[in-house]
Amino acid sequence: MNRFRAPSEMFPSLGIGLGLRPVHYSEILEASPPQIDWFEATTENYLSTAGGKGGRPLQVLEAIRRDYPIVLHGVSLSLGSVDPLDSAYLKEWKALIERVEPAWVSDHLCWTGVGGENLHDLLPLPYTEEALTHLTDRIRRVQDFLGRRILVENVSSYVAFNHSTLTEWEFLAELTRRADCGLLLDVNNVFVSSVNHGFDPEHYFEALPAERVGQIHLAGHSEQNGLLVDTHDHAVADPVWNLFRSALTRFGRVTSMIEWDAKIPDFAKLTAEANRAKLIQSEVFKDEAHPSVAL
Amino acid sequence: MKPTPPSLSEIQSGFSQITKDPRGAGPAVKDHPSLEPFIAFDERASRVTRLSVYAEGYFSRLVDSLSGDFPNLKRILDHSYSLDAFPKLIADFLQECPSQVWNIGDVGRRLPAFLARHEILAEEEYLADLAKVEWAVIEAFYSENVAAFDSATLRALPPDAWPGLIPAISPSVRTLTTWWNTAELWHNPSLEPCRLDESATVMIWRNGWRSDVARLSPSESTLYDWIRTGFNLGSIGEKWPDEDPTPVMEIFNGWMTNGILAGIKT
Repeated sequence: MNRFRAPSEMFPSLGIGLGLRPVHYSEILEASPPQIDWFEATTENYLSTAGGKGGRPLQVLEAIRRDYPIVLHGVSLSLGSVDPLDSAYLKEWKALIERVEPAWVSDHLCWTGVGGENLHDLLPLPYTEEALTHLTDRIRRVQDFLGRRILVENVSSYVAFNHSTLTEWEFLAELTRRADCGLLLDVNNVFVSSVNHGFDPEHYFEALPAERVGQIHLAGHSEQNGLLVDTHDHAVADPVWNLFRSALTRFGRVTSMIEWDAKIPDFAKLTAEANRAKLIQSEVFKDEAHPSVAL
Repeated sequence: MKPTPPSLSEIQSGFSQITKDPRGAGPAVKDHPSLEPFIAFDERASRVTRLSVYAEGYFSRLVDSLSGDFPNLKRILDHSYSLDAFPKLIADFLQECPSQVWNIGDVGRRLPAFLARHEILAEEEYLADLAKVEWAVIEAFYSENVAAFDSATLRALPPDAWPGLIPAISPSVRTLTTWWNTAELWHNPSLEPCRLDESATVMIWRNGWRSDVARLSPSESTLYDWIRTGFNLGSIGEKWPDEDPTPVMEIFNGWMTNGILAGIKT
């Protein structure tokens, strides 16, 4: 077996990226070009926010897109919800895709609300045949509508359901196969959930189909009342960096990025986190020239 | 007898109600006895502790987001009432107006109207007006983007073409009528709220990277109304009460520089 199996050609390696956050817009555009390979933009930030048509943020996204590859990452598709798929959302998303031509698009393996409401959280699903069938159907319908394959991200969870008949990794492997979609592997989420539910994250990785893993997320977490919570408000923790190394070994040179959404630091600190990811990638793949890093 | 596992629909309905319950997950989960046995727990954390991550996260996430959207409203409530006045307002708001939008940044759209009918805070009319301004600031930021007004284009036109020109207002511009020093409070929320002798127009617009807010003078307010109605420069010149056109030209120049005027129609 090739330990460094290349990820699918459907999701070519873009290198190491960062989440695009409004507080860094001017720095990215006006400062000398930062050493970042690509950016992941949050889909909903560029839809009809505040009744507008994207305004200044969309203009910024298009300007950044001229210089960098972009990936669109959504938080409100609510793939797991029993509510009907939101056709207005899908239409706006598709129009945005046509406008900014992202390398690929993704959302989460969760539900975010029901009864027409949005709780603005990535809520847990039971790993049952009912959920598997439901998600497979919806992912296929989304992909048919967009005319492209999407990636779905594993979420961190604090609640598990006793009537689940599959493990999370079995569920993901089967879902990506049935729905023919890609997997956005959030390594921090795997770590957080492994602590909260007591499983081995390396075993989780081993069970996933490597050819489906198109992107990796890294982020920080916090501890609350004995549980780890995916807060995106800290630097990536050392155990997560170790798991990242394992993930690269298992899945190959997968496009990876740092997410930081609360208590957002200055751009230099984010770039240092990205450089640490680059250094680990270079070490894993024994690159001849390590990138210059400022840790 | 072993209970029947809940369906996906039953899980989501119960989970949603527990998460949104302002009493917290502990009391809320007791209202859902058919769901509770199917939520796993271990020595690390109880069911309630686990559910509380979602329930507390729901409120704190929305309070944080709305704090960012209504920073001056929050500052005034923190200072004039108590540090929990803003979170309490948001909890009341979410009970009556749960989010039905994709983007958490859109949740605040209904807050100004809710504030205007809030059982306690509605008495302080300036709070709802300030919230309207803060929301308009966000709308201005996300409004349709247009190219900056090029005053050189205007100067290049022959003088005899000027009377027929119709100024166009930027799509980012919003106005509202207030009886309070709302624009001044937006700039400095530590000011005392002050009721005006007569109503005033507040203008909100985007200028480059940032939105701005100003109370219009009576002359500016009149000029804005004429432009919005579609008056051309010739009509404005005829209706302007002063012989001296300098003041109106100064307002025009300021509005061109600040991004309030988006261009001219011929």
